[in-house]
Amino acid sequence: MTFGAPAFLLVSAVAAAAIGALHLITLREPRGTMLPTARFVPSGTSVVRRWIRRPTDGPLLACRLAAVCLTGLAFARPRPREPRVALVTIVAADRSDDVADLGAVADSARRWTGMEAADGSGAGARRRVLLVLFDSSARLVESHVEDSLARLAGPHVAGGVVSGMRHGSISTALVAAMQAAGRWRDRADSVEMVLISPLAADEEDAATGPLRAQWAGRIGVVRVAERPAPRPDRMARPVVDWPPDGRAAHTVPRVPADSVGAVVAGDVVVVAAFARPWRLDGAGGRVVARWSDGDPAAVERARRAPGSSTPGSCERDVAIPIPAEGDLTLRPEFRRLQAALHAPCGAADDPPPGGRAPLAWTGAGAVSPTRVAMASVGRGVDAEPPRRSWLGALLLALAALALLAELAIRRGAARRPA
Amino acid sequence: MSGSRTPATVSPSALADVGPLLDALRGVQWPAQGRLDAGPPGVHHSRRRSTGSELTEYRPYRQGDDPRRLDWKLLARTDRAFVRITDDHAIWPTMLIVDASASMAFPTDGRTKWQVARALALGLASVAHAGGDPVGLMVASGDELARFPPTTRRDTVAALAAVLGTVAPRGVAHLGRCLARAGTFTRGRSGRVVVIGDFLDPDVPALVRAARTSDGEWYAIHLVARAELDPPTDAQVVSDPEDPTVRRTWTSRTRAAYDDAFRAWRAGLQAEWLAAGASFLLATTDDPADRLVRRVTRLAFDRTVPAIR
Repeated sequence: MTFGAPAFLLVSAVAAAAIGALHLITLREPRGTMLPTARFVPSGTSVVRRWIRRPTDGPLLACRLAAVCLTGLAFARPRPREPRVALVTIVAADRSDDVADLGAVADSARRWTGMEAADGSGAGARRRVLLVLFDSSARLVESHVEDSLARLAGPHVAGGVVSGMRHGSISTALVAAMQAAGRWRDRADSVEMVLISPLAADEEDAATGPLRAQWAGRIGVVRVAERPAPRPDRMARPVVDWPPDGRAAHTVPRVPADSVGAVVAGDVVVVAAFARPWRLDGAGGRVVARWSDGDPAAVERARRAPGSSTPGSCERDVAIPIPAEGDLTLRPEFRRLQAALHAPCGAADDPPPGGRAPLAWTGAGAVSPTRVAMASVGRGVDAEPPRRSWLGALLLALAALALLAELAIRRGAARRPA
Repeated sequence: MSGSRTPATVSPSALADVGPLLDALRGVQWPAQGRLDAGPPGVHHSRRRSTGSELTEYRPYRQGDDPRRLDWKLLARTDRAFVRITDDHAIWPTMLIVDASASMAFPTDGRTKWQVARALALGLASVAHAGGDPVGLMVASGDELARFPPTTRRDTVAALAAVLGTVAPRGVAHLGRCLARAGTFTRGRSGRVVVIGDFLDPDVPALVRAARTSDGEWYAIHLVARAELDPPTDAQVVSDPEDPTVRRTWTSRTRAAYDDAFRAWRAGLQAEWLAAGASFLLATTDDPADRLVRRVTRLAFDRTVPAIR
């Protein structure tokens, strides 16, 4: 049994002690005795207050104590203590259109849910697996998990059109996973998170990093195949928009403007001091070059031929400013960068986010204790409010019955002749 | 119901519990306070002169004197005729008035005022009877007034003990009715009256008035229980056994007021009795009975009121 407001227990204990002490004071007329010289005793009240060793009105005292204690117990919000588990695993499974094979995601998820079944369930279970399905939004699946996984692997409206794709949001998945973990903060010894996702570039945003930093524990990553974005004709030549100042299409001013030390395009790395006054929007396209901090530096977008629903060629927006001074443009690596940015459509591979290899997701160490993993999460992610306990209502009802009994006893005592 | 009580035969066991007391009082004398009027011969000095054996003085023979009263030896020595003069002695009847009201049964544990009163009455009766004085008794309790006329019978004390043994303290004594039944004791100079009680009776002022107007000897023995002088300290409701309407709450805070009121009443009572010419003695239930009897008999010598009126 746990209590949501244990202070009320102390209050009710103090009140009960005070009531018990008051019952040791009797205000009744004291015992009578004969005294022939009573006429010389001054007249006054015939009721005196005196302490007695044992209360005489036992039933009345019992009813009052019961009412006070039960009321205090009810206000203390008792909750049945839920069974504690050793390990809670939160599996965030990507069901977005960025996933090439949802069946693989379902199979990976089943491996974790199967571990829960193998370790037993109910009171005394060692492991509990929570499933979070996410795309642009996240949903915690608490029951009928197998049904949800079966629907995940079933026929799915495939992406294939460039527009209308449901991209996954890892930030949303992290938030939902941490919320789910918060509910088990007091009931699990350890917690871990597993992310089943292709980790597409489109699934990350500016909040992903900070959210990941809030989770101090390990995040296991199961990278599944990414659905290839509709690519233009690989042999078509791209239309490259590369202004010298880096202000390409789909750029917005970067506030504040900063600088970066390198740009990566495939296996080409150019190290130089690049000023970055512009920020390139990578949504709707395929990032073909990135700054060293992961921001897109060049994005390829498909171009449809007039009257055609399939992309014919592509256009590339390059937001890499070309310095007016120095020998950067003479270096071999810059020329290779130029070549990569002018490669036929679809040729350039999207480099992984700079510095965010899947291994970086995992974090260091083994499964973290709940208090460590949730250390930063505690304030931001509130545990789900406990379900209202039926115990409180029952205790208040019993307290009301005790008060009714006390009233009946008092009235009965008043009616009885002294 | 009231009436005289003189058992035809008195059981010797009536004095069984006061035997040591009577033995302790053997030889105690209780003289009258002053010379008595002429009366039946007794042990108390009388104003009348007579021809008894106890020589007091010689008087010259006068014409008409009884020649048998001439002291012939003195005549032979002095050739002068003198007559022997001696003092007369008279009896001094004693009437004991004992209060047997409900308040005399206090305290309920230990020696009660009634037990002290009974012992005191028997002790005084024994002393008076030993001096040849007639002793009578009146015991007032509730609706009953037990009377025993003064007598000098040999078993007088035992008879008085038998009468006292049949009385249980109860009700209100109404001692005033004793005055009507006491006859000449309360009028003139006919004897001594001893009132024994706690004087909580409403008729006590009438007794005081009778003492004031009487030429006899009055003794007022005020009995107080130790528990009345020093009541318990725990809170309780105290009630008057003779007046059910009197119910007071006794606490530690009422003690001081009670002591003052009770002390003032006792002082006033003593002053009234003394002003009436009576001898007054305050006795508690702690005092031994024989000592009380001796103190009463010494009052005849200790009182400040002139012995002869």
